[in-house]
Amino acid sequence: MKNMNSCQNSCQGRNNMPNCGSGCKKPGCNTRPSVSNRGYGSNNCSTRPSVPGCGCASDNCGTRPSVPGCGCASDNCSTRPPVPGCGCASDNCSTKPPVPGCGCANNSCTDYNRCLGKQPLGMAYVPIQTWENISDSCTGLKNATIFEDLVLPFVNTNCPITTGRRGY
Amino acid sequence: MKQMNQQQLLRYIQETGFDVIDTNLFLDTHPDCQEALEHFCRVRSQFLEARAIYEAAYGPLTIDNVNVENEWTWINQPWPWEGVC
Repeated sequence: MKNMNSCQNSCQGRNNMPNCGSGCKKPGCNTRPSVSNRGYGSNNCSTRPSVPGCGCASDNCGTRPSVPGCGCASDNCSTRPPVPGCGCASDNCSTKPPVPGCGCANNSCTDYNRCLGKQPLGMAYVPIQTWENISDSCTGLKNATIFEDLVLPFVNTNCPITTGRRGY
Repeated sequence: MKQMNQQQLLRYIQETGFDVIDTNLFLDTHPDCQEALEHFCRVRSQFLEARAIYEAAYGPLTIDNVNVENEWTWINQPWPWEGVC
């Protein structure tokens, strides 16, 4: 019997990372929204959404989407995609790639770079590779890897940062 | 393997040689993976056997295997830009 244990992910049980980005700075936040750098919201917002960094939204948004950081979107976006942090996209992005958090790109990768600063920080995670799905040597040379799981050619790469993705 | 012509043999050497290197990279981070170790041993044997057959028939592929018993044989085979293989 081959020893498989050494090929397995050894990180099990170690993925509980502390949440460093939330929580109350002062006691009493539990009924009122915490407002970064400003103390607390004026009340507990009742039916209105809590707006991080701004206290409470001006109303309960009705059918309009709540926009974190901005209150409510200007309308319900109808055919346009809601843009977290920015309301609605200026159009439905028909020919332009959607940019997470910023509407549509102007067919330029720089838009994404400009808007990336609006996104929250995150943690990168790369799983430990396991010995599985090995191709034969001939296929390996053609794919530039003997690992079938790493055969991930770029597609839609006219603007790699905004629209490129890997896989079929 | 011995029935392969020169071009087929060289291709086989490239394929198994790449397999050896890719397995090498995996083993760098998984030094105890028995399956990977067995794969490395098997493919390396294929690579070494193919290279020995090729070099016996067509001359050295790398300078470390050049025969210097009587003369400098490195220049006896076609150069890469001569398009032979």
